[in-house]
Amino acid sequence: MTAARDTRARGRPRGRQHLAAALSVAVLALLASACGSRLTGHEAALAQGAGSGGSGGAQALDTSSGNTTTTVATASATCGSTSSTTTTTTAPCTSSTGGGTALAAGPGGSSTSHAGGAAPAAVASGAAAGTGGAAGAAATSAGACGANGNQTPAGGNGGATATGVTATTIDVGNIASISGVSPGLTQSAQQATEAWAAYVNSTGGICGRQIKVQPFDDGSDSGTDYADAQQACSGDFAMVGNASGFDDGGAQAVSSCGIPDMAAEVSTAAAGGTADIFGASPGNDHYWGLGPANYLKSTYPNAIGKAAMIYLNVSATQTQAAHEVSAYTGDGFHYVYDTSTTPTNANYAANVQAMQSAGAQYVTEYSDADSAERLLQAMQQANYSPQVVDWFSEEYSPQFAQQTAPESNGDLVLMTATAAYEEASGNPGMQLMESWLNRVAGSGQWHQDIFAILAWSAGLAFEQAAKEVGPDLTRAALISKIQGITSWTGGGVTPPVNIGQKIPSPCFFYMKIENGAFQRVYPTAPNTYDCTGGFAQY
Amino acid sequence: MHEFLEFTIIGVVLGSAYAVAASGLVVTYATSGIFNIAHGAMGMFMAFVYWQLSVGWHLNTALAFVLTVFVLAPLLGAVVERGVIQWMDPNNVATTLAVTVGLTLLFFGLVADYIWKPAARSVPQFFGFSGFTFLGVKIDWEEVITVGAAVAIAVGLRLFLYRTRTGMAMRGVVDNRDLIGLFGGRPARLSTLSWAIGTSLASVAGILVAPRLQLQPLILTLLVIDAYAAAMIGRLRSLPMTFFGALVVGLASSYALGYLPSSGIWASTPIQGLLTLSVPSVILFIVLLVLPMHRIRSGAPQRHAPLAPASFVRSLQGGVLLVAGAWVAVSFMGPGEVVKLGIALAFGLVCLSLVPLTGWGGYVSICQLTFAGLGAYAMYEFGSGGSLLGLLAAAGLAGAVGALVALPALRLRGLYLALATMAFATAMDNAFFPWSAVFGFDGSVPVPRPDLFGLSVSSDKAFTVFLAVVFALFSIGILALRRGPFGRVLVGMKDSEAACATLGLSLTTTKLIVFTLSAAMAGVAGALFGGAESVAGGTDFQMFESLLILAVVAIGGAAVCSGALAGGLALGFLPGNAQDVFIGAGTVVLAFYPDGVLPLCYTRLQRWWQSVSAPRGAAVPLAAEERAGALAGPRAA
Repeated sequence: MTAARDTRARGRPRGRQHLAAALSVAVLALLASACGSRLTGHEAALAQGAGSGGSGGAQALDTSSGNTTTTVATASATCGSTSSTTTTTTAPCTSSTGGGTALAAGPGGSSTSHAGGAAPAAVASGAAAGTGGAAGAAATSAGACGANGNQTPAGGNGGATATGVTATTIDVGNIASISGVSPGLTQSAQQATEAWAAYVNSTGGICGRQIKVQPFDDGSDSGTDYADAQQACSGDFAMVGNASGFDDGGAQAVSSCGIPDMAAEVSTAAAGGTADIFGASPGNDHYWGLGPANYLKSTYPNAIGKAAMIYLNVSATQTQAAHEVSAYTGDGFHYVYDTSTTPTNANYAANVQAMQSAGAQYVTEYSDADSAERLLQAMQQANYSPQVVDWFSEEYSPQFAQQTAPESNGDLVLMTATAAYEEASGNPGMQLMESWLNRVAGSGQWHQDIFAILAWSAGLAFEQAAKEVGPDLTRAALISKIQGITSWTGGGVTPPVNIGQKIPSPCFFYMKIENGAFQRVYPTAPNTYDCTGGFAQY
Repeated sequence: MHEFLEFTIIGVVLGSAYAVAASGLVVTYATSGIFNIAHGAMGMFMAFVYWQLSVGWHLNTALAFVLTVFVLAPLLGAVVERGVIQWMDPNNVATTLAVTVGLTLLFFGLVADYIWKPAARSVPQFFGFSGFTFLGVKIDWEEVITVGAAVAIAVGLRLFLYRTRTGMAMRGVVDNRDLIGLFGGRPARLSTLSWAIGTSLASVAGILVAPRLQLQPLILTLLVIDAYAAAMIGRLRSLPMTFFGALVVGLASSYALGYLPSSGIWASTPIQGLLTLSVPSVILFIVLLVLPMHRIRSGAPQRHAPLAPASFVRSLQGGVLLVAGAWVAVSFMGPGEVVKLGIALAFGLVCLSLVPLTGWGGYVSICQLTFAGLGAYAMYEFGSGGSLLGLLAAAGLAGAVGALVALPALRLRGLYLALATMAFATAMDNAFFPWSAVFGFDGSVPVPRPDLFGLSVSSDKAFTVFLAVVFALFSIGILALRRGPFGRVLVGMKDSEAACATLGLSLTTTKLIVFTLSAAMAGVAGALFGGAESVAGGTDFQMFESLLILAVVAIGGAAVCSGALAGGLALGFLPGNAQDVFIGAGTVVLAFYPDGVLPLCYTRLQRWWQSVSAPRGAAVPLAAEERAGALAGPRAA
């Protein structure tokens, strides 16, 4: 009964960073300038490079509407950080302009308002945004490879500037959990990474170098993850798009050899504590977002007074559940049922009966999709319909919604790390990702889950950082550039997240399941997030 | 009162599912003498077949059920019996368990990795969620069917086995196969029929529980393990008692979940893990210790003499060869392969711990990885900076726990001892390894590599060679034990405990020593395994993985150190999605060569060498194994 580790995308803020209002406005401009970069042949890649002190690729603003209010950077700036280990931050993270709490994640860049002319404006604003020196240097590095950062400089790109780099190729490794106790668990991440590589190569690559992905399968095992990372250390320049619940194994290798790891998600504390590992969904060990709790408290004030928590009895989910219970309790939740279960629990009926007896009206479970299905079925059999059933984003998959229909109708699904596939029609970044995944992996041959989105986003972040470095590509230089990505949305496929400083996004939105499909609940506007909740620290 | 009634109904329904699963187990054991650990896996396989027929190919539900339960399942059981089981000696508990473990892995691997690709599948309930209300409690028709099926099966089997000629003949085959043949019965056909019936019952259990558990290979396979307690309460022969035992297990599980507090100390992992999540395993362990056991098929004379242990010179040569081979290998392998070789050698050390216990002593343990996990934990806690104290602590902690487990289990033998170790391992999986005090809040901790008085083995290459050295030293050590008086007593106990007792040998002391030694070795192996992987976590040491360990050791040859090495290499290098199928298929070999592949190779090699080196015209004596084997053969048809 080997249990798959909880691969929950840790969309919980790790902390808040103080940013001056002026810098936040600069970041704002960068975000605006970068809005078109993903879909316009990287015209604004220069801007991203120029703005390396800021967010570069974040697409969180609806600049087409002229709304220049906050992104997560601004939100972070006004929240302030705390040093207490038990402080619950209640001050909402407001925008610098005092604007609304909802954050518009604008078009990822395909909108006509960003086409063409965005680049020059982006360059200007980018140059203004960052420190002069940094912007200038970045501009020089990026400019050497052309406006899009994809051309070989006139004098050559230096050839083999680092392990896994040649004049024509950049080898990147990708580790996913494909075999093992949960076959195909994060396979979509590897497929998305390969799709991203094909996309980048179709636009000319990076400084004349094509991306080559070396795939690995860790078989849901830490030791194999370690072996794969060691292999990547010796032959690849970097790792991109890794998605594994067993990245603690690879963390040891990364810390030894210094290979940059721009992962899809960071799952374990060991990986989160490794300097050279970054995540499109960073790990979080010390902060817990309260935005969802605030929303639930205001929307279901009676339900939160009778909350129930079930979690798998593996350490990671135990810890996460304990943190959530602690954080939410501080925010007004009262848990009347809090228990563990095994991944092979065949007797959810007893859990359901116990919750019914305790009068629980808010139910959540930290588990895999199969366990969640069994719990739902047991609730259906017992005619138990609490006011709120709240799943997290690992349950955000069409398979889960269809398998559990209709008993899952009305269930909430908390989204903290990615945008929604259902809203791709208004999100060019998502459209771009899907089109390339369909092209490379085959339509219907990949799972529409959060791992694919995060891996794609990780690839774009790597690309930006590598282009900012320019032709003289080294591991240390790349890491330095990644550290500068502080507000990132991957072209609109994720909420703003601080990759460089490993601070998860404070943003969230809720979907609900209806008749086997997902529908947005809050905030109501498509492709928007609420980033105002604040954090609990532990 | 209403709540109590709810939990009671939940418990009865759960117990009924256990009863259906356990009944098939009991029928198979009572009529063939073999405890089929693959019972759950075969039921799982047939549940998938049922899904394919009814949902995948849209066959009528009733027709799909009839086809699955009365045609395909019996056919599968018959094929397994004819192809594998009939060749096994039911007195050789270690081999029968290893083969049925292998069948478990084979079916699991086929379903999970090859035939049905991973996807969400569910089996709809027979009547949806419709039902009726009884004393204010909602009862689904599905639940009624489950309970009814359990009762009908228990009654029907009882009548069949005790009131029909065929049934009585099936029971007689186990007692005295030859006598049944003399009286005109056909033992071979009766054995086949018993496995057909057993598999059919397994399919019923799988189909009944699938709507509740989804079609998940692992869960459906492991469900039957919870039913072992019920089968033990029935002492593997009484169907009414098995049914009663199943209800006890189901009700206890339900009441524990419903009534045990879930706050304060009761919410701690060890308490919840033991008293709420491990109820079937705890009941199994208690039953095995308390109830008098039915006559056990062990102690029968072996069909052939065991292989002579290697001499000191030979073992030293082997050790040097191993270390030299590792040195050369790491010089040419890529970094990833070096790590895998290290992990393979660490697995080999775990497998080596089974050689004295299972290979020589004949005691089957399904908790070696649990001891390894204790060792990894000890290395993390006490081996900071690579201190050798960590290795000592690993051996000490695992050995002490091994002795504690062995003490109450001293009266157990064969199958019952194996099941007791399985229960212990399952309880540890639920109560100890997930505890944040053990492997941290993240579920895994970095495990240091030993520092040998200033000599660093921290690099992957150096550590891998170090593991080869440890394997060689351990092998030389236990072979020396084998050649001595202790080893002779051990082998004698495997042959006949009664004879050893008659000669005044202390079986208790010997058993305790070999258990402690085996556990200590596994503990050290676990400490080094953690170092090889760089981290260790609770998910690395699960009971299900111990089944893999047992299977690969048996295939390689449980009585030879090289068999353990081969097993470790298989676990370290076979791709994850092929491990189950290859290892499972490999155990089928044991039905024909119960000593394993390598001893067979050694014997054949020895014979060839003798034929080559013997003077012309001289007769080449049969090897001891061949002499005994020539007198035996497949069981009488």
